[in-house]
Amino acid sequence: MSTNIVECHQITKHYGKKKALDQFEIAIPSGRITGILGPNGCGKSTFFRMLTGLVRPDAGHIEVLGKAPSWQTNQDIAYLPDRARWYPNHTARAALEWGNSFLPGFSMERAIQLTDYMDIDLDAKVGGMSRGQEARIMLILCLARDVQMIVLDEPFTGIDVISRETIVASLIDYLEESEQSVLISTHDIQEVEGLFDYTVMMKEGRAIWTGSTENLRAEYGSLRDVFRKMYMKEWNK
Amino acid sequence: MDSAVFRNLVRHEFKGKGSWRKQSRSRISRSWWLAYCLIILIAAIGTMTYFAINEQLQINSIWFVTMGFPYMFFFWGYGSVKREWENDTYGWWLTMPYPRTKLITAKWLGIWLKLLIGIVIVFAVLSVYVLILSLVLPAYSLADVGSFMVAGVDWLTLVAGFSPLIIALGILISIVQNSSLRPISPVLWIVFMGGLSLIFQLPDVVISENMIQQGTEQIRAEWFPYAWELPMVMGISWILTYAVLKFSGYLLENKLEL
Repeated sequence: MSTNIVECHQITKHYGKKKALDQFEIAIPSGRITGILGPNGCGKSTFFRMLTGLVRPDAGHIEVLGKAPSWQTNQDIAYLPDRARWYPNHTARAALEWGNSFLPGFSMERAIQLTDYMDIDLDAKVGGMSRGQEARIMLILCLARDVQMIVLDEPFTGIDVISRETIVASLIDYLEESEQSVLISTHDIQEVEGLFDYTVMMKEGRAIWTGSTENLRAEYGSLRDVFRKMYMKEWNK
Repeated sequence: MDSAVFRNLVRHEFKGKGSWRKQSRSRISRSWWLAYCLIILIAAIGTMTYFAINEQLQINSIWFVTMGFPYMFFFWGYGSVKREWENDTYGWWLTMPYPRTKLITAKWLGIWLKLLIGIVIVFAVLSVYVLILSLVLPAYSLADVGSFMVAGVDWLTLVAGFSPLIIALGILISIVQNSSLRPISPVLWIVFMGGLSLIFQLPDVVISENMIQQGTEQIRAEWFPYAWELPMVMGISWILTYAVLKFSGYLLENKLEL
């Protein structure tokens, strides 16, 4: 059995003339909290969408949990899509019931604990919530699942600072105890600096650095410094 | 896939999940929207009642208010998929661990059930309205009500019978717009909209407007005034529906462009 939870070989994906992924090569070990880092438009979301079978590569080979991505592999993946929203007419409770009905490995008990911890009113309608509260519900839908892999695509985008801190705190609490493999993409590394033990740095559709976060820090200093050095051009924009 | 999961999927699609676009409308504009609907409804009932009192209302022609149903059903199908994109919920929907053909079939079935309930309600409300007219106004008899209801059953059965395909085509065009086949969507719009107009060649057969013309022989609606080929065509449309849903599932599985 492979010890890598994700393997990509020479993956290429075009959107029109733009190359979202370009000869993308990566192997992510299982049981780690992996940060997929890079500036906007570097291919992080395309990579995550490929993991969940939302998009297919134009060329190359991808395996997730030892298989080609499909709806079947999604049974073992909790995925928070990029820029996702939730159904406005649902209450928080209806959202959790949705998870309980359709998502394998979903624990209603765990979900209710998390709503309590994240200060969510179960009877409040999503349509009347702040973006931060809505984001917390969506995160709960992922964290309340006992699955092999959790994939969170930009979970902090568009969220106020307080919600962001709550989300990061709950992630740290939850993931410390968990043995699941976690992939988190972000272009904003400040809050999550201490979260990752494995890092993939992406640029223009390629993985430009992959390895343990400890080694990365030893080589470049803090993740903030890494960003500054690796993405000099984007940083100065 | 577990049949209980499929039932839950249909239930999920049956319920209104809301729209962020509509949500962003201000309260004032929403109440105005409601007010407009009420005004239109009152005006329609008032106008019909006025003509009925003056014995000028051909009651079977009331069914013409349902002439837009085929288009409405098409846009229900279209909107059900479009809303997933508008609401930014497509990522949740499409990464559910079930075959996408099943996801789309559940959506289709949810709409179809809503539509059937809607048709029954419309039929009941209009029948009751005409019954009241016949009880209050001497120009209309219970036989007229019977004829009105037969014409309604004929027309609405036709609409309901073809609605599975109409909804599926609405769903298909919405999926095509999010797939690599997007360039052909204008052609599909023209073909589907043109095709829908074919259904409007039938009401003249179904709804005889002259039934209460004074001084002439009454023309009563009859059960099943269609050609014998119609059930066959309807059967073919159901097979086509299956094919369209399968193809939609294939597009979602293999040709999605995000």
